[in-house]
Amino acid sequence: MSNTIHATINGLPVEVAKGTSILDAARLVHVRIPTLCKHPDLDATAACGICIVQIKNSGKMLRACCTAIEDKMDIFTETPEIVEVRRSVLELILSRHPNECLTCLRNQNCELQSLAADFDLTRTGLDPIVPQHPLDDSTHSIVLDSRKCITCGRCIRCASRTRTCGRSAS
Amino acid sequence: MLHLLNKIVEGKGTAEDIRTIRKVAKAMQKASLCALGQTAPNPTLSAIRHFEHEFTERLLPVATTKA
Repeated sequence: MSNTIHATINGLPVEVAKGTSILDAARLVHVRIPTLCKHPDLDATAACGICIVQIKNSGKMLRACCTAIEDKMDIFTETPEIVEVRRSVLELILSRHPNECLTCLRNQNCELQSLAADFDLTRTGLDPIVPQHPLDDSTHSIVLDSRKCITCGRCIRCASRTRTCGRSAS
Repeated sequence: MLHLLNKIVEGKGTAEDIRTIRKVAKAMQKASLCALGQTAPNPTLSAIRHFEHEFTERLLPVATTKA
């Protein structure tokens, strides 16, 4: 069984090692799939749902960050339907997020903000339902505003990589 | 989706809310990781399809401007 996969992304042929994610394979042919929860140094959590792509002639959408590309897959990353669903997913994320960019420390340095700008979303069509968590300043160094959490899972992934916290804590 | 359904039940829903329910349902069906999320909107969509009058008769009237 060969370890090389031959597939097509947006009509472009790709040849990658077995086990490569669709996201990584696309990057090799300079196809940019938008992501939010994926961090280059961490394994995918597939939490956000922004990186969805579609296989030709299938109604199903897959998350590119966590799905291994398979032989003879014919993948599309930017059909009108994909963009429409991605936009809905982003609106859902934003509907639970406090609308405080102007006073937020991450203003102009925020991946969620950049993605919303890419999709031209200044306000969502959904009624905002922002969870009201109190600020956590119980440590004397970090203030955590849980209202802004988008449950991307990066903090958990990062913690479980170290040996001092998470599942592998010794 | 629950929020919008509650809005309709309370008599504060609009036709736009029905469209939004359908939009959110489509996002759930397409973008969910597994069949649990993919099938979750089905009861609501079925209800809107087969009992449409139960929804539309509770909607707020659309504001019209006289020409």
